[in-house]
Amino acid sequence: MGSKRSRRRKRLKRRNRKHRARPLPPAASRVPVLDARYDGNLDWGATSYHPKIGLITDEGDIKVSSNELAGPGAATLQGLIDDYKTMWVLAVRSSLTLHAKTLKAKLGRNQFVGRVRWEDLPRSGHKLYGHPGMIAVKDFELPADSEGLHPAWGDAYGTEPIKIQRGAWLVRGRYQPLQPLGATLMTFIADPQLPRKRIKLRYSSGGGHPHWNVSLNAEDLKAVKSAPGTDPLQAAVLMGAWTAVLAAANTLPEFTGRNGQRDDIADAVMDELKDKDTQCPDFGTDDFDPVYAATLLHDLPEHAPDST
Amino acid sequence: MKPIADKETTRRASEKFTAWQKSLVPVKQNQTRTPATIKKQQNLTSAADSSAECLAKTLRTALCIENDELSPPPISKGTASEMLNRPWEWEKRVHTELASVERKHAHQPQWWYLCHIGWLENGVFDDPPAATFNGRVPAGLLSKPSDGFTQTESETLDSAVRNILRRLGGLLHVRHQPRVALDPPIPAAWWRRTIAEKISAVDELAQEGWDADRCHRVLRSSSLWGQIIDRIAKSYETLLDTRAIAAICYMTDNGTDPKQACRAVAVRCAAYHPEWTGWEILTRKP
Repeated sequence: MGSKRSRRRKRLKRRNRKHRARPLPPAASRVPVLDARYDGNLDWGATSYHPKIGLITDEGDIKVSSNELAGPGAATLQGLIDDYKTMWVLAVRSSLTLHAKTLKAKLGRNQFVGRVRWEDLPRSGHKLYGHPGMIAVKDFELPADSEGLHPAWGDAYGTEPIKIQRGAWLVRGRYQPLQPLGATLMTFIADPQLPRKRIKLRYSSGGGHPHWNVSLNAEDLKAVKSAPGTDPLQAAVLMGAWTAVLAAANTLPEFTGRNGQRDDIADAVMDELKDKDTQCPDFGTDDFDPVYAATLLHDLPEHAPDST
Repeated sequence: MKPIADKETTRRASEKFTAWQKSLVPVKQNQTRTPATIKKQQNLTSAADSSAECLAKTLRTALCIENDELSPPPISKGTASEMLNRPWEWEKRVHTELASVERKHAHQPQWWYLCHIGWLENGVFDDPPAATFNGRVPAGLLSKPSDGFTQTESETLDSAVRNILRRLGGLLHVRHQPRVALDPPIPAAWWRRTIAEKISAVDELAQEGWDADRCHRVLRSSSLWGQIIDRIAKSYETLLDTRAIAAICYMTDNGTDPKQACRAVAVRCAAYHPEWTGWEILTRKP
């Protein structure tokens, strides 16, 4: 028993030695990061980062419409962008196709549009992620007493400026799955009760992500889930679903903007429609025609679907 | 590139694929196998032991594409030894012959299965193909009643089936999708050479005279390729950047253990973006 206890004591002693508080590393090797991936940001206190990443179109465009910084450190970090010391990026990665590409904003700009090559990516958008953030484009020094920076930086390192090396991440956003517009707006569900070639639509705001559940017969669902092509049935189903979604969207306050600001999806859909036709009327107006808008988002089938 | 099969064939094969593999091999190798599973395993191994035509027919039946036309990209005949040992010259030749293959297809095990069925029918592999796919078992096991298998016999048969499935295009439900670039010899050759060509364009390597051949040789050394793919499969996606892989190759070539090199570069890429970071920071010895 005695030997067991002493072994335990030794083990605890070893563990304590291992976890003993270590001195801070030298200032040159540390960089204050505004990391929005985790709760509790020690380096920049109450400063927050909210990137707005648009949705991929069928052509593979990704639009980063804004990189919003808020809180006490926002001005300092925005100042680095304005001084061309840092820039906004979106790292796009797909572990399935071993593809990585970083979309970059122009120096001094907060918005940008980049394009990924669909040939290099899994068609469904599955496992394709965007990682937004700000990186240093040259070596520079950040004063330890910069506005918004946690006072601990000044306490630990005195007035010595923080050396930032080229390539260092200064702001990091959450990983965001990137999906084509349709995949984000519509979730297709198999409904065994539905006869073939019928569609049902239900609005859902589950998980804080507003979208429509489109119910279909399992056989029709297979056609929709296969890669977009020229199958007339698939085209008809997608056309029908888009028309129904847009008709519903036209009346919903969160889409039309009557109840405060429009959400990201509504903006993305309207951007897409305006890209195809600049004259396309806005959501919520009497002139908005969901059938016409659906044809902008998905072409009419070339052959009439089999009616049997 | 000409599609390997029509859309309907590809869809049908994809639908059956995972269920068929799950019915043949359980996720864990030490899991108990029922006589029905053993019977299925016997059918596959005896088909591989019999002839290329027979194996292709078995695979077609399993994927419900009995009469569908397959037109895989042409590839010249290879030996069982090349498929087992994967010499560097063979990998280079395979990549050259499959230059038209696109990434959107190359990451799908199902797509490579359709290719292998076509290649089996076109006589690309040695006949019978059991040795080519490392799926040989003692003859007695193929004719033994499926309910009379001992634990050791059952494991021998199971290993052979796993080898065949891995080498035909991947064992999706056990090894997961990114390992399609690691397990089957032909897809692995394609991926390894593709990545080697990409990293040879990195300025720092090009300045030191590294070409695609040298990058390819380094990627083949020790367990480096396996380490990279395994880490990417485990969500170290920062390692996907070309400069990150180039840095790992450079460190390994300078004597760093592949595992340590992968870990060191992954840690650095968490703090620095590899595209803008100095080469000396990326490749510093851990």
